[in-house]
Amino acid sequence: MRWLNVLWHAAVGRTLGGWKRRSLRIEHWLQVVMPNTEAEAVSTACAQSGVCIGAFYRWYWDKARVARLLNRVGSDEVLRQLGKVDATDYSGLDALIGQEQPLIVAMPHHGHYILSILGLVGRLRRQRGVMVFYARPSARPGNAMFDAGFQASSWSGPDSGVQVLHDDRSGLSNALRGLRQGKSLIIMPDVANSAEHTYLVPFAGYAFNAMLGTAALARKTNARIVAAVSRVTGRGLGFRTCFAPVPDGGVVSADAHAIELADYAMTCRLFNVLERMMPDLYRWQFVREHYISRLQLPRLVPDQLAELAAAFLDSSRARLHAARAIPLT
Amino acid sequence: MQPESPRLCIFPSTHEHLQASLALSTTGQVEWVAAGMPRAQHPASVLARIAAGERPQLHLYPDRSVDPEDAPIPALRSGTLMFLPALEALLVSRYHYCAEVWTGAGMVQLTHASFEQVLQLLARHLEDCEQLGERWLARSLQFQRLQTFRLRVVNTEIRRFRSAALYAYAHDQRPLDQRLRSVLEQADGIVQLNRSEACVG
Repeated sequence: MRWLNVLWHAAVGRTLGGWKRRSLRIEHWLQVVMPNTEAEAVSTACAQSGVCIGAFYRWYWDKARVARLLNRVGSDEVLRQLGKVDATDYSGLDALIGQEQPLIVAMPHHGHYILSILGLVGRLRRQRGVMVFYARPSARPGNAMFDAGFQASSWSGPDSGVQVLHDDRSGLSNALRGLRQGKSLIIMPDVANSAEHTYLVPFAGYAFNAMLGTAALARKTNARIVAAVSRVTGRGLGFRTCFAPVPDGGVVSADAHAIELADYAMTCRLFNVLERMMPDLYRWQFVREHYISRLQLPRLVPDQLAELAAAFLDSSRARLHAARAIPLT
Repeated sequence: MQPESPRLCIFPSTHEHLQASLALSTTGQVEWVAAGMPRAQHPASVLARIAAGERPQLHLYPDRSVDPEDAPIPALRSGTLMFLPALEALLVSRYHYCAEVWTGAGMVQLTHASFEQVLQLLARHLEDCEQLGERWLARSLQFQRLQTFRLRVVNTEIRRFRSAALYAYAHDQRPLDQRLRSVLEQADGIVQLNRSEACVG
């Protein structure tokens, strides 16, 4: 029966993957009904990778399969199956783990990122321990699956070498403490609780709202950032996690604005590395928002700054505090 | 003998009113002014022409003027701070237009009124538009007049400017200098002031 199931899933995946045009029926079935703007964004991303929209449907189908697997079968069973689909070459990562510096693995929501994270956790926990940092399920319901998965597996408990952290104050302080103790941290840099706390960095043709948190954690703990991207191999749920170190920016002074510039520059470098590692952008969770917003980051030169600041920051539009309301009865 | 005052009518964005204004504008009897509507004129372009001496008859839809360019005047009514357009008030108070304004109780006429008096009637007009319920097509736009929304917009713009300033240095690996520091400090100051004392009445 299990083989029949595997064959059926593979056949559905192949059929979806070959789909040439948009199908509302398929989107309903996959529970990914998109407004036209989103469908156009996906089509653009698919065209850039030289594939049809079916490749996106296939990826969504596979993602749903991963979610079902994590929810249905015991997590340890999933972990046992992981070895069969993980085609990652961990030798580069192993060399970094062996170094003194703590490690921050920055992995975007791309490809089979859930499987890649599980594979990484399995690898890193045996060394100096690993922390997995993500949004609390109350803020992102999809993450409940992670919580349940970790709790149900043999990776729970103080001796497992695995620590789940949520992106709140206590999660951050535990992440700092753990990194200072030499543990590794897996973090997803392409998500933010609120755009208000983000900065725009160039990414995949447009500007992207990114938090500086990954860079700040690295700076405060002298950790090394390694970009990691989950790539789909095309065979079943097969995946390969690719790694690339992000160049360090050197020593930063204690000045608040110098720190801000250093963290911003590091975040730009991280996203620059990630962009080069993600040629199949249609398999990125946020491709739709990214291609719809088409945010641009203006290219300024330092000599322009004072003039632009005078035109914008001194305007009544920016200085809302200076506006005096007319009282009406 | 004094020439007759030019006339403007202020209507709510309902299907019926918009259709009527469109029909009259195609025959050239009035000019239809509504922000963000493809076949209507934009308020800023009309003001420029009137300042240059033209005096067309106007059908205005200020309920669509909600963004910072079109609605820059902060006004406090019943404890709520909102931003209203300036065009209608300027046309009456400075360019001596005679205004007929839709309210829940019918059309109200206003001539020789001050800027504040026009704003007063405009605020009542917008309040009465609520009575139209689903028929009021601009209803979903009105949150953009509110101070909380404006603050969010300004902070987003400042954040974008801040990012662009930082990128000018990050891209070429330049170290922080006084030019960047001054801009970042200025931006910090404005965000803080906006947060603490925005729009005192």
